[in-house]
Amino acid sequence: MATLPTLSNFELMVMLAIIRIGDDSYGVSISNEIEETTGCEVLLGSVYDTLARLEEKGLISSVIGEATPERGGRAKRHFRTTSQGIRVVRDTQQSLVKLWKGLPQLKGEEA
Amino acid sequence: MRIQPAPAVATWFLKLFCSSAEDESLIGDLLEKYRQGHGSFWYWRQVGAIIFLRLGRNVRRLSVGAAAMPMRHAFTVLLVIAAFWAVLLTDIWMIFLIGIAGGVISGVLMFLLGNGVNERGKFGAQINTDHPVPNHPGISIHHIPVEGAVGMLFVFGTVFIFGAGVPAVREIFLLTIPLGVLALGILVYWHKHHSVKIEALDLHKQ
Repeated sequence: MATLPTLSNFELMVMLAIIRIGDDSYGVSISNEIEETTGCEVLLGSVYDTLARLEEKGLISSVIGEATPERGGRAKRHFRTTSQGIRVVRDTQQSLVKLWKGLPQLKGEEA
Repeated sequence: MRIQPAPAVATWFLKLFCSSAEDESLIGDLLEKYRQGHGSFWYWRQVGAIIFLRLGRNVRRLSVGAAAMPMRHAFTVLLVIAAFWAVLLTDIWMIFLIGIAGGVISGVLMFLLGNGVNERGKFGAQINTDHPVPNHPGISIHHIPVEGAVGMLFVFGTVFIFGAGVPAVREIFLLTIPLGVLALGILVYWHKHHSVKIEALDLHKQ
């Protein structure tokens, strides 16, 4: 049986952001989505680095979109998850849910 | 609406490192985000991070591991030729120096090339995830590279064969052989205690 690729924490965030945004997923919208949901600033470079890694793993695909003046006439690159990407995200979710189940209440600094 | 120009020098730097067609969208994204109300410092920081990450990715993609084996072989052949040349010149000190320098350099080289590049980027042991332990997801065997030790034995063996014909070198071997046995013992001990590691939470392995 083929082994599914694993996701790091940030890779999972990027995958989830792409799924949440849908068709308008590109660098700026993905980083904005992560920043709004997590409250932390995200480096565009790390978003693109992660996107390249996810594309190499076959979890997302990209197409070149339209150019706009505020982008200096440069085209957007739209991302979408592949069926394998969706499967990996679902597997990761199930694994995390299993891990959370049965955990003692987390209070303060002690478990 | 007047479009705010981005720092030209930073953009020039960015284009220097990110020049492919796909990078155009990255530069466009950066400009778009900059014009959403960020300052020059933010822009420079983003450019610095992009360049740093890009260089890191390119270094990771360099297949140093693939070149390791031919380099080891070439180095071993070089040492054999040097040892042969030294014996022909009957220069005892040359043989001695080649033995020590060759051993040290080949050891360092083999360690760096054998361990420096692997899948997870850890240093100290090669990781082999191609052969996970059957029926035990999350556990994989980590192999310590023993080919380095074999290579060193070959190098020292060659020097030994040539050097044994010289009486003074035979005396040197009285010291180096026990040291070699001791080093071998340390290597075996280390290998025994580091040969298997458990990877926690590797949840996708079936």
